[in-house]
Amino acid sequence: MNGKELVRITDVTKVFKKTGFFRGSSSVLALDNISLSVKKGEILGIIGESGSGKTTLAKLILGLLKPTSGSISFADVRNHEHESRKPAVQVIFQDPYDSLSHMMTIGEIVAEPCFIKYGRSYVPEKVRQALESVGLIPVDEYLHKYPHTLSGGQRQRVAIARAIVTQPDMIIADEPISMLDCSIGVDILNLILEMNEKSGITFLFITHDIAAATYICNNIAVMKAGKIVEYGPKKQIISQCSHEYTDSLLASARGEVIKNY
Amino acid sequence: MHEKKLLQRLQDPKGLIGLLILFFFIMMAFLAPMLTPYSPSDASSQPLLVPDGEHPLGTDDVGRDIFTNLLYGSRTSLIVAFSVSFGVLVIGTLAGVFSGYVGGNPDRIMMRSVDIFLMVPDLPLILILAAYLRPSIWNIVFILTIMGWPVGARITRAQTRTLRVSGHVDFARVSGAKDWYVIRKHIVPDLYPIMITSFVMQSIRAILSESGLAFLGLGDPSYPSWGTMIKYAIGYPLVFFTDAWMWWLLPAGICITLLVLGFVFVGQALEGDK
Repeated sequence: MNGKELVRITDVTKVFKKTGFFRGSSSVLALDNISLSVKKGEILGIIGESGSGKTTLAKLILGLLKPTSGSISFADVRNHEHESRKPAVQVIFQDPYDSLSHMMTIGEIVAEPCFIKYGRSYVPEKVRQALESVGLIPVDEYLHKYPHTLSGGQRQRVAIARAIVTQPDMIIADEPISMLDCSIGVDILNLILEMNEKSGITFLFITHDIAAATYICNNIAVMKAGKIVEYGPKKQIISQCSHEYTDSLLASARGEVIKNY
Repeated sequence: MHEKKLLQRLQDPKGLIGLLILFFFIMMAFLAPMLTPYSPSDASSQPLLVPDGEHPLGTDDVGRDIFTNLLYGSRTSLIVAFSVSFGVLVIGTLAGVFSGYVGGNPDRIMMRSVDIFLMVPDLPLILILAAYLRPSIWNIVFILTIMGWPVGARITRAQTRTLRVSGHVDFARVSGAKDWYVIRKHIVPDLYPIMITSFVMQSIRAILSESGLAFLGLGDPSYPSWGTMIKYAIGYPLVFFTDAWMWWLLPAGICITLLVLGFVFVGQALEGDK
């Protein structure tokens, strides 16, 4: 692993087995021998249709699922005291209505990662900073609200705030804008870009929207049926794509974002 | 949020009436020794007295004060109701959360045994067990708890399984939360509404079952019970030929109905019925 890589995924295969008592077993091949590396500080887009294994890949990197075969390794990162440690990974989920506990206030939700990491001795100021940086201002107005009083875009901002509150090295954004209106979606994309530029957080941006991916990503990987069919810098993917699936994606998006490039 | 919501729901008229009824019976149970000079088993008065100043509801055929029995009967009903529903709540929630959270083979084994419990017809088994075990109130509590927990376990398990794969649980796990933290902070708080409703339901079931068993003569003779009172009243041949049924039979029946009604109102108010 060279110095630029943060995560390296080597020959990862994931099979979901379904065992029934009487019907025998069936299996689904979700990821088929995937190799991919995420570089430090980049925004890597993963584009694919539903069922192509994008979310499975995200869950494998997050450690929520175990790969059937292959390995996922993380590069050590150095903090300012020059100690090396494993990178901290956080996540933003697709559905802001499902991913925030409706029993907790916004303040509790955003403080939760700190609470889990440091116990009761976390710094409450960090929670305020995180909420400020995602644009939920004035913070005091939001701290004691419950998620059901917020709109979808505000909820997704809360989800981003709690992802950045522990200052992770990498955030996996699993279709963060697919359930939001276009205009709010662009705000969220700009927010991700800003986080990436200011704090140097590496993003893995999972989407089915090639326009959104070309808007923020440095590199793009295209997935289809559990395989990565195309990988390269954004411009290369747009201007000289080699796979017909990418071509069809581009064709569907053409006329909106693509003419800027 | 849900706790607040639940309390708010209790504030509609139905919930308030239900709470008032429950409060009335709880006070009755607590203040019984202060409200009557007799003890429930004290059979020293004249039998079959008509209500007067000394015996507000007269006496029964062996000379016990009926009003006293009525007061102490509320203790029995409430003790059984609260112990059974508390037992079902604890066992059912533990079993359900464990089963739903762990999943896999432990879940399968657990749910099949719950199925077996659910398959057994309740009432005949309760009758048989009550008849064979010593007639004690704690045996009745035990039987009703044993027959009740599978329902609680089923419901909490279903809810746990949906919560376990929800985004906020996944997020907590990504942040490094241990299983215990996830259960305590993300799963159990979400179960409160279900738990309260099942607490109310089990209380109703326990009150009716206890009275029914007592009516059939399977109750605890050392605890005065509304069911026992009805049994003795109906067993006395002349109860319907005189006016005695009005103060002997009716009050016990009304008490059972009212107490159950109180729980039903509270339950409906918590579910948000208008």
